Amino acid sequence: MGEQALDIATPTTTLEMVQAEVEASEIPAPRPDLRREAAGLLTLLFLIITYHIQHPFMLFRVQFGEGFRDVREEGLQGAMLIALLTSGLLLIGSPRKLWGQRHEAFGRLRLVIVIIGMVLYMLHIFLVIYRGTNVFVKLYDLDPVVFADELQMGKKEAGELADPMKALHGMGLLGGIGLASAIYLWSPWESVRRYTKSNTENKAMSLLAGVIKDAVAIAVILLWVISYQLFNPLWLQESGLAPQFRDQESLIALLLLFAVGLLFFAQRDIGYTSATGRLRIAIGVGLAIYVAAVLAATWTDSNIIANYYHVDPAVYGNQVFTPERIEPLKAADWGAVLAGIALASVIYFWAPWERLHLYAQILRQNIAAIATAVLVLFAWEYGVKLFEIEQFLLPKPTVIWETFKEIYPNLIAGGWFTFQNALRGFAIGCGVGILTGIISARFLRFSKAILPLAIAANAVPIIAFAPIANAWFGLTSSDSKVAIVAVLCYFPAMISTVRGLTSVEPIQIELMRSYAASQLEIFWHVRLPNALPFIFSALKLATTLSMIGAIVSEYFGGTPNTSLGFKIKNDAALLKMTDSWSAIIMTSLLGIGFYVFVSVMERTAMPWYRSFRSDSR
Amino acid sequence: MTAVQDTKTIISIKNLNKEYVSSDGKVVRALQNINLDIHEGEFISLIGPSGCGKSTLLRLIADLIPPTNGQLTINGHSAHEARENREYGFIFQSATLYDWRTVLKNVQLPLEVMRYSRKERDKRAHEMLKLVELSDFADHYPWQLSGGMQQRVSIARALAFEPNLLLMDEPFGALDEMTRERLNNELLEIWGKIPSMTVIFVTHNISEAVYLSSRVVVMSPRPGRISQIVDIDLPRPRGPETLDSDQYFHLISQVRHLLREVHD
Repeated sequence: MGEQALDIATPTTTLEMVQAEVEASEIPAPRPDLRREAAGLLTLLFLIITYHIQHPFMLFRVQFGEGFRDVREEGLQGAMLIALLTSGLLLIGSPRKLWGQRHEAFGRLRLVIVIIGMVLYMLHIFLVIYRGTNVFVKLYDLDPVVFADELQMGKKEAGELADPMKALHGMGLLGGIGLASAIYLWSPWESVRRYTKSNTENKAMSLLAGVIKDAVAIAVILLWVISYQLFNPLWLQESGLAPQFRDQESLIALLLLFAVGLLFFAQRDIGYTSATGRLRIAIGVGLAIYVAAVLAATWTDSNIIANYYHVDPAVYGNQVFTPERIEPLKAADWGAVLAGIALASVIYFWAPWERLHLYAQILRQNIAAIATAVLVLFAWEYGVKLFEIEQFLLPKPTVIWETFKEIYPNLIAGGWFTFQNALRGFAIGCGVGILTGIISARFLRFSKAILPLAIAANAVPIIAFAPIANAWFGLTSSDSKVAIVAVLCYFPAMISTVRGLTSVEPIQIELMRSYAASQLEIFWHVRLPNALPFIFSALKLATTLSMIGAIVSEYFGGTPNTSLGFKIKNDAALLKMTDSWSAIIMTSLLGIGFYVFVSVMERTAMPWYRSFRSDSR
Repeated sequence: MTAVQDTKTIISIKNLNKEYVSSDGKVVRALQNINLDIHEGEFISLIGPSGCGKSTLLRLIADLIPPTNGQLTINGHSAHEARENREYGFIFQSATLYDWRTVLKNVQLPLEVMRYSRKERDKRAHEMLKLVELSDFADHYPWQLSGGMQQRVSIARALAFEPNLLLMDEPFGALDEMTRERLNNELLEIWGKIPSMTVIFVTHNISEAVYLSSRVVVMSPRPGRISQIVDIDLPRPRGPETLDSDQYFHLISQVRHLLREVHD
């Protein structure tokens, strides 16, 4: 229609004004990533535990294997597997996000590490726990149960084998980490890209440099295999490549050192300034430690790891090595190597060093709280001595700690049982509560019908309920405890759901009505997201309620070794105070863990929520 | 701009009444005997003191509240049908963006309700953000934006499904003068770009009403009714030169006098 262009605000001017606006407004500062830390630590913990369970030798009493062996039948292994999987997933973000990052340089690296390191290991664990199949043991045609029985029957032998086994594992883990580091520094996927892409920009020189780097890296891997077989206490005997290189140990070690040095300095970006550079330096250091261990073994005839466990490699070879045992030990060894790679992967993903300075800052900010906690512990410890309080009234923290260390497998077993009750009751109570809350918010008549009942349920003290529930369901059964916990959790969940669903601004409803949205659409798009903060605060409250409910309900009926609450009461009655206190500490840990888990879920579900932003307090 | 006289009437209001019954039984006449014809492509402002029913009238047109009696047709059918067919976009006084959605997802909200395909939603949302010049903020959350930017997002959201009718209830009332002026110009620019778009704009700012509109409807309270309609014959496109013209000030005075009469 022949209009002139408006000469008021050209796009660039507007954009500049907008950019100035944004700079003036608060930009969120980098925050510590609690999800990542929790996932990293959890994954490490479960790596350790599952490693001890899957290892064919760990079938007998070694470290965590012992603690968790008794509870294996309770489904603990299933829980741990799930925990391992979820923590692994949390750690690497959502799989979809990972795939979407494949175009970035490190995106592809992450994908590869996920596949090699963690997925393979988790698959291995899954097979061990659910199919009873240890792939490495199968690889060498072994039957782990028979093997373990053989060792166990000669119990004396088993005791003698403990330390050599640990040495073996240490070697395998270190070797795995070394291998993962070498692969990371090599980054062969970049080479693949280089060779398959017909890039005319690639000058001959850079291609040549790439080829040299690949050759050096392959040499490193080869030398890794050879030196591993030379240096591993087990492979002292004739197996693998060891025989051919028996006399050239020094040469191999030196070549390895040289090659690793070449590989390391062929990296771009080694500087201390960038995060990538720092990471590469750290990985180089790790690799260097492995090489140093190899060198020490060949030159000084002292195997660092064997020495740590006070094992003489020569004697060790005789102790452990009989022809029948080579294959099982190889199996154990490969398991360790794989675990080492998985461990390296987890640590790489977790990358806690990236956030260390933030945590140092937080530590400084909370120095008062920390100092108070330490002071309280000190006061407890020395106050008991000073005021000559009887040990059976109030034991010292150090004594409690000693007992805790002794009995923690039982505590874990009992804690798991109690926690399962709490969790089931939590799920049922909160689930039903949220559901009835949704229905109440929608149908006023329903709400009027059940609200008095809900208030009544809330008002009943749990202690009154517990003996009755025990009579209904049985004294030691879980169901009575689950029922009590469910009743406890129901009311907060329901009330907060109703509140959340109905406290929507009328203007937001009007907006949806202007789109001719149905009631269901209004519920899904507006009411439910609005209710999330309310529901989560109720869930956090319910975690503490459920722990209380599970413990107290056990006061009236439970079994000494499988219920934490009963244990607390029982041990107190028997004046085994340190045991009782240890159980209380375990309860607190479980409660805190549960609460933190729900908090983490909350932050994951509601990244937009006001109290999580750095700009508001 | 399209000339007002030779286009069709898209909103026809005849003898429209809205009454409320208060808690003590008294009848409050929010709107009494409203008669108004709005033509395609017009920019209409509703202005008046508090209680004159301008927001009520807007919500009646939007079918967010039902009339007591009277006739109200939009595009030839009832207001209810117009709402069901999603023939208008409503912009509220506060941006009403959802905190849990990014800017892009907020703009996509009506498209999700209206079952557009994912590809179509993305395409339209990006187009709209480009229109209001906020493409760089697509992945930001509403609380990271200033008030003016949030309102622009709500404008983008209202236009996402390309309605021909825009209903705006004091959209710039909570913003400062400079932002308001800038957004007025942007609104005129957008209105100019989209052919045959009609805007009904509720405001209590006289200069804003005169600057933007083709016609200003002056309303008075108790009972709410239309007092007078002023034709704004300022030339389009309007810009800084408009703000300096004598005609502009004359029209502002005219409207102000009318409001003063009405207020007394």
